[in-house]
Amino acid sequence: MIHSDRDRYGFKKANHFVSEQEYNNWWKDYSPYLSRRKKKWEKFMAKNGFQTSRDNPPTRFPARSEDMKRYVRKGIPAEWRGNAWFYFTNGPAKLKDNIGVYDKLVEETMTMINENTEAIEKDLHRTFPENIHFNDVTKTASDGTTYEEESSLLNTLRRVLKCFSKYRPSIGYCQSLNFIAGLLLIFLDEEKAFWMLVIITERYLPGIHDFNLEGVNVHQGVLMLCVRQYLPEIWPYINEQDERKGTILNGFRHGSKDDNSFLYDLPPLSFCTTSWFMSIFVGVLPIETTLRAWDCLFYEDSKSIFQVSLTIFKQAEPQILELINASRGMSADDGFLSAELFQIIQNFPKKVLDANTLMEDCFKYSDFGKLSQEEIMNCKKYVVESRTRYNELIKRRSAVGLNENDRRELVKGAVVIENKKVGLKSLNWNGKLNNRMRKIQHKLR
Amino acid sequence: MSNNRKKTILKVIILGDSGVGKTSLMQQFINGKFSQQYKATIGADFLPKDLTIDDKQVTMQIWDTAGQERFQSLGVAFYRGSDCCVLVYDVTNTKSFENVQSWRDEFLIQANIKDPDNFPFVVIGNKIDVEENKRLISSKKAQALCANLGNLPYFETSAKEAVNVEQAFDVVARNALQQEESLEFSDDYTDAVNIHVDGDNYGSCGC
Repeated sequence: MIHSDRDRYGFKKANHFVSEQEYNNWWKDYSPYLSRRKKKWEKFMAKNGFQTSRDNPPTRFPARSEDMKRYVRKGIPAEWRGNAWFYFTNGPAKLKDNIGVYDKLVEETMTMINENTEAIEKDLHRTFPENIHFNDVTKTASDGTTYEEESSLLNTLRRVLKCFSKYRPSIGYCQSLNFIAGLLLIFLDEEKAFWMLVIITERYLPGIHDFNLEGVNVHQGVLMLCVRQYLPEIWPYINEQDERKGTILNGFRHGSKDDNSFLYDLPPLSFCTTSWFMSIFVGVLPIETTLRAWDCLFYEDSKSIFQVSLTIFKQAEPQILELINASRGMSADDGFLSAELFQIIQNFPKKVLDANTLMEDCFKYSDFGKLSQEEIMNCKKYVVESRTRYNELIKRRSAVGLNENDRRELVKGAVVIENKKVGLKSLNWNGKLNNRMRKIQHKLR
Repeated sequence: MSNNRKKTILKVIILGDSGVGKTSLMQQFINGKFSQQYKATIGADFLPKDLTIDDKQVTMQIWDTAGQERFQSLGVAFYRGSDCCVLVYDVTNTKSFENVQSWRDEFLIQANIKDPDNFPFVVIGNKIDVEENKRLISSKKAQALCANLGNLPYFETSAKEAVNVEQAFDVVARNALQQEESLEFSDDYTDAVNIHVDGDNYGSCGC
């Protein structure tokens, strides 16, 4: 593989952010690591009574355990990945409950043309143009002329997305589903990939692809709460509300700690982190790194997306702090720093080839790994409540003709009500996160 | 506080239906390249470019956005503070042309533009490299729309063959700069958020 310009899945090794040489240098070490892990997995499986062989990849896996979690965090063998994901997410049960459903959907959608199918057609060739299996194939006709034929995987991707849009009318087709379905198809057959897509949008990313994308805003709100708690040094620079009040210019933090207006008025940076959730890191992290994040996600639940996200921020933190130092005292226009910061966060993950270090930074050298699903769910509930309250307020006051100042007053109004009624400090996730944060800071020192 | 280090930043947002070539236009302008390999944009992408406009150094921040309609519900905070908005359609796609006006209206609402009649938009009809019979929107039709929307500057481009891209973005940059400069004078009076806090020396304007 070292002599090919493509990786083992057919993706071009080199891109705008990683050169072929960089890829090969990294692969030289990662490839033997993968072989070692595979052997360990085989032993682990045998110990638990599961036979594996080259022609017979396992379709069932050992019961959940601390050992198993450790193995998953160190990476599932690529050959078993599809089966493992499917098994961990209860795919087999879903399939059993829906025998024949997919075939019927394929039939029903064969000639279907609507807004969804139009959008799907636009995105098919824009899913993995850098992957050989997702491109048109140049063929030579008997008369010697050449013509382009669609690859079979593009055809499959079309069917899966069309069927999904029919099966889940509340979502239809949403851009980014193409990336998730595309990656699934590299590891699973068509029908299983379809049901995985259903499971992912139901259980792991609920609401994220809905028509109003409110799920995206909610998850971004939760992520911002996490960043504020875990990465307090960079948070004021991410939160534009603070910036507007002059934080960057004079280094003094304004706004009370309980000012959660960023939950309604999300920082611009959330437009960058949107794709981290919507396409679960596909196109954000290099492919092998994405796969490691997916392994954890399907074994451990949606908190993994937050854990990996926080680790990306943590790894980028030195760059961010450097930028902040460099721009201190500079009388720049509004938005200078937030745009530079946006660029760091946009570009940084694309170079994170070293999946092992990312995972270790996440689970070994920080406490991000201990962030529980329950805490995330509590945060989410809180964000949903806050945003609902705000939206109701907006509706009541009629947003028409609202100018910037009125809008800000309204945001503040929503926060005050929130504080009086619920009392932010009584929210248990907050205290827990604070403790964790202290521990992390202690460790880092 | 006039200050030599003060950077002039022009914030430019590119809007338009999915697949009209927003990413390609941005890449062609910034990197002078075209590729068939652009992926669908999720959320937003950002690229900066340093420019000199009549001896004035500026940094143009170009924000490329997702085109699918539902992504508009994410746009609120992000459009604010824009100095120019580029509305792109595909000359082979009637719907993308019909949507130009709604993209403009949506932008004006979300960005909270104080003087909508004078905000600089630039309209771009992209993909003119296609064969003549595939083209569905004539120049005349497009010009009529732009006149109707308040004499908006209009360009026909091919991001693929680098036709007119430079020219279009030159007008974008000039109009954005004009907008930025006109805002600077009025800033302190119209935007209470930028009021000096705690008696610190840094205001928004620094003039």
